Amino acid sequence: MNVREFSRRDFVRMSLASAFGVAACPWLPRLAAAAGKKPAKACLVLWMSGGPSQTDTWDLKPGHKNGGPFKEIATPVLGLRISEHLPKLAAVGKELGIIRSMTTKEGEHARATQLLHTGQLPGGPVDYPALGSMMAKELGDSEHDLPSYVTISPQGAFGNFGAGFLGPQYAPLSVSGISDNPNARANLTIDFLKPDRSVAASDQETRRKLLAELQGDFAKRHGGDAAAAQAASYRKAQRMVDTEAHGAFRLDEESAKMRDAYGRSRFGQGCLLARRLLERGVSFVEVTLEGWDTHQNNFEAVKNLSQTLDPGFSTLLSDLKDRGMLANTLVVWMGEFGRTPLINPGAGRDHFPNAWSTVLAGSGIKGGQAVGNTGKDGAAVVDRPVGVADFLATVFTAVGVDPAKENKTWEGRPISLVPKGAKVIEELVG
Amino acid sequence: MLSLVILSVGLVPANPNESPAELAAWIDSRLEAVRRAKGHQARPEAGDDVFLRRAYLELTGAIPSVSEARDFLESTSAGKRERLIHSLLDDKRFSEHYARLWARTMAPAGNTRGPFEVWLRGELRKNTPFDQIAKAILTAKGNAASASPAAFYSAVGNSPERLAEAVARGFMGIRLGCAQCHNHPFTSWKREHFWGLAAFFASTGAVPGQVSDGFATRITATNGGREYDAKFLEGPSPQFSEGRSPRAVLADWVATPKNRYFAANVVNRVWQDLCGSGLVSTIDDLDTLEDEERQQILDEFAAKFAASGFDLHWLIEGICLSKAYQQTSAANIEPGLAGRPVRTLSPDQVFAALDQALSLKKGRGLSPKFTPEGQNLMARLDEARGSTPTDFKGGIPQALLLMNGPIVTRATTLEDSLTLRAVVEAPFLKETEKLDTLYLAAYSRLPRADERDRLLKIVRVKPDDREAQRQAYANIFWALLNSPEFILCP
Repeated sequence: MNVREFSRRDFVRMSLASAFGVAACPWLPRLAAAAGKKPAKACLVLWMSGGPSQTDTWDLKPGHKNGGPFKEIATPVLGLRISEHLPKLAAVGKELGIIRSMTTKEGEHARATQLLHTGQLPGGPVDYPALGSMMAKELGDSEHDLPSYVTISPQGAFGNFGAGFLGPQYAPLSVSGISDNPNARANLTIDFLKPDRSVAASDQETRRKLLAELQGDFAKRHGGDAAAAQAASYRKAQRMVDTEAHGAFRLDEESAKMRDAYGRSRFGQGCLLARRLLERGVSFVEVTLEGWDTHQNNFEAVKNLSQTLDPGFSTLLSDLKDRGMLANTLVVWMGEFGRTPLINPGAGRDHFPNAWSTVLAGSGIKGGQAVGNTGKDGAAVVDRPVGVADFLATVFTAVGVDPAKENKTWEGRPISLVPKGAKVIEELVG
Repeated sequence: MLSLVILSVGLVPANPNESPAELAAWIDSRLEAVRRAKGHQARPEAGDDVFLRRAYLELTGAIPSVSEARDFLESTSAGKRERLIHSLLDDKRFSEHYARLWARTMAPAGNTRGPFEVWLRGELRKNTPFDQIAKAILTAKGNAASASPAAFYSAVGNSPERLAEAVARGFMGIRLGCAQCHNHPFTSWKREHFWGLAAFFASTGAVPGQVSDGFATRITATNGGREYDAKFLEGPSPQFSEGRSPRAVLADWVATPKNRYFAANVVNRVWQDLCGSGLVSTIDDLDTLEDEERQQILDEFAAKFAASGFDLHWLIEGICLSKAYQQTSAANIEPGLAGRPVRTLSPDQVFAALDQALSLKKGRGLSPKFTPEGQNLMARLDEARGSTPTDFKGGIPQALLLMNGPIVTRATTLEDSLTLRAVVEAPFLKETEKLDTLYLAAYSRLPRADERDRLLKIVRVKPDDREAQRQAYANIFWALLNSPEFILCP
């Protein structure tokens, strides 16, 4: 029995358990382990939309004029130091595998966002699938009621990458938050999970009943696989509406303390929701934190963003660990590129794909280290350059998927998950 | 024994003056013979309502408006089906729809098909002979981003390998891609065939953004480094002459009646577009057909198409006039000659059908596809594109979007929906007429008696509550739009 099977059959019991205040179910994965099977792997991406400043987060340059006003603080790992505005993340430094030597070749938001999500630049003849879709296919269970790929607060044109040639069963289900105000109750829900408020319950009932009759009529008259598939997808969608996605969105089942720990921001509550989705068998979740495009007033903006990021990311790691899920869940922190080490006259930093940082944690990643080096001024990678393909190959390897594995486009052309020649970062997964 | 008799009929020399009606008669006599030989039952002719919806969806990519549907269904004129086909072939929506189909066929995975599609649209509007279209593409030069045949090269990816693969598949119905790296496992295609075809395109990508011509006829394989000479897939070696581009030599070999794949590919794909499955076997593997299967009908049909001067209107009209096209569909059929399947509307057809049924708000560029909601809807629908006309690929996100998304929600809200308000508020319409109009808008047909009774019960559930009655029409319309009949075509 793996986590996924369990959560599918027993979600009702799980909700009951939560009603008795046992919201945390640390016994779930342990149960799976006891059954002697390898628990399913999962992947969670924290997407920093806009291009986060590496110099003010993971790769500080104290004492250099490029460094800016932020100070470094220590982590429990000797020599590993990060920004003073990420104190909670510093405390879990043993989990963090920081890559300081990302180097890519695209500095435009939309194109770079696609590059980091698919490993490919747009414009080619192949409609490449997003990382989440590839992961959904490798790690997900197609029979599950919940889609394998969920994206939380995707950002319009930059965010919503689909399944490409892999097809709609691997397409993302979007969750949007209504409120951006960190003080308001984060109100996350699946897009279109509920009918419009103006439709009364009795009307909904009429609609569903009539639809079922029309489906029955059509099947009787014309039959066919397509009619059956249409009915099946509506049944699944309806079941998700009825169970409210197995209660994943009932964040108020969590204790106030837990919700506070994640941070009462859309991002923080999104991380909490991500954990609840993973518990219910979703294989890939992406949570977006936007606002990193800090061409002006970089330091004020990054400080504010850090205060949102720090509790969300750190609590996610400790919570997953407490539940025994971190060993099987890869957490990826990334944006589409970094920002110039040089500070511009508006106290901002501009787009910089040459030398920037990403972070991996969980799923066997050897944490407590920083890979690569960008020298004294951060202007270039001076040690251990990591390209997009190398990075994505490491991500796949960490969840036990061979990055050379091939999918076929519908015209039969084989496309590997990651372009050939990519080198896995052995220090992190070896 | 019977099948032997049929085969002995042999090839009839194609008549260049054959009319579409004669083509239809020929199709029916050939298919009738095959059907009898296989012992299958004949299927009855489909009703006017089914014919109407098919013809609109397959020739224009959209469903008819309420008044178009009503006019056709009420007409008692004998030649109305033929006249409808004529008028749809002349409709500018035909060239838009067929340009979309062929741009996708020729550059299947491209996400930069726009300019190529625009050029194709103009050619189809003029009914340019198909061999000329192919030759224009194969010999195109100039700006690859302009609305011109050169745009094919950027849509496919302007490299010899991608072009070889696309030309083999889109123009000849042959999947050659595997032979790029290794000899094809199931067919006789070898690396020399793949690279031999690629060699004709050795110089097209020399200048970024342009399609250029050069006189190179040799190419170095990107894998393995071996050199290959330009070579046709079949027949004698190409004869190059000074001053003539290698691609012009290729075009003369590809787009002629002598190439047994070229006309057959068009005929088979048009048949699939119109009838829901290829005339023979799978559409991308004409090279794997058994001889008997080819001889039965495809080669003769291809010869007729070539004799017509590769006239696409003639081909489509002939097929649409045939009994084969006009028969009722069957639930699940074997691909090939057996009959017509229930087919799934393409994402473009679903969008156009919603647009027609709901009178969607126009966006920039006049199509509702250019509103943010329209773009979102189209993106979601597009993810559910099946690989054949009978696949249904929609998943949970697509279902939720149609059930609860903003477009259908507004379309089924009395205050916001043009269609619904026109029906519900019309003082001169009786209850049954209101239901008829909703059915015409969503299904292009009138409700059957049992359906009408069922719906009347919903409308009359609260006879004294006028608001509830109005809401009942909204509920009915919602169910129609979400039902299989809206997105599947029998």
